[in-house]
Amino acid sequence: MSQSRLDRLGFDTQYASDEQLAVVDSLSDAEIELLVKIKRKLDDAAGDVEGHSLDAGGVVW
Amino acid sequence: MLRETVALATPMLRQAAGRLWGPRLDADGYRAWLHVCHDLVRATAPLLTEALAESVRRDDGLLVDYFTEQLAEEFGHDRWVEQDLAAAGVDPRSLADRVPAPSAARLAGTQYYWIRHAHPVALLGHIAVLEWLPPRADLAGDLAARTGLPAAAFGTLARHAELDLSHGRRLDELLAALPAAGRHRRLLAISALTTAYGLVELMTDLVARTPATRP
Repeated sequence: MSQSRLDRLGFDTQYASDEQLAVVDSLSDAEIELLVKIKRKLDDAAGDVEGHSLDAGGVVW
Repeated sequence: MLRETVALATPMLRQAAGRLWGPRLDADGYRAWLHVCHDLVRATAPLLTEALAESVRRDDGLLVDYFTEQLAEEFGHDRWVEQDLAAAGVDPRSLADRVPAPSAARLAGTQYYWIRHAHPVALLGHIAVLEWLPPRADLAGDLAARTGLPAAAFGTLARHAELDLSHGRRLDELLAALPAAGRHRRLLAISALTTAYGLVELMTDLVARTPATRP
């Protein structure tokens, strides 16, 4: 169950911890769908920005 | 549970933020971010006010205390963004004519709906995503050096690098004390993931508007 849901997200299940698998199992289909949408949005926009990034956090409210 | 759910989205949020702050970002790109940041931050105190009023109506003491504290903490931060814009060469009076970004309206608007029509606890999911991924401490200085803008244009990022850490811890305390009702857990998770999606959308749109190389 967890593995197929993680596969949909394109996560490499080889490195998923038991804790992550348990969390994924606890999510509803709607929640999984949102994670999939986030990943698709990122994948669609990858283009020429890949390799030009800075891991610095940075969301504010 | 919320922490673990947000952790599933965090690598993707980091990736979207990383693209935004990457080497392509110049002064114009940073000004564009400040404008969208203002669209979002101007809704912070009103959202907290709305959540507080709804928590009072429901007689939920834990949430009343938390939202009261946070309202005091967050009040006026839109003024910080206006000061940053002014330091970056933008006349803050131009904000009056601005049509807020749809991505910012979707992020804040969703929360207004859930607060009013579901439960104010939903706002905690939104806050968690925003407070648990603070700007890195050196981001403001790095961007100042890269864009050539004065340090005064980066006050919002610099202040949040510090503030969000304590706000994040305060949220952890509240979440540990909240009753773990199933419906509320679901609402928290869906709120957090919806915000994560909205932020990725917002940041991705900003990156798409930044030319790879400026003339």
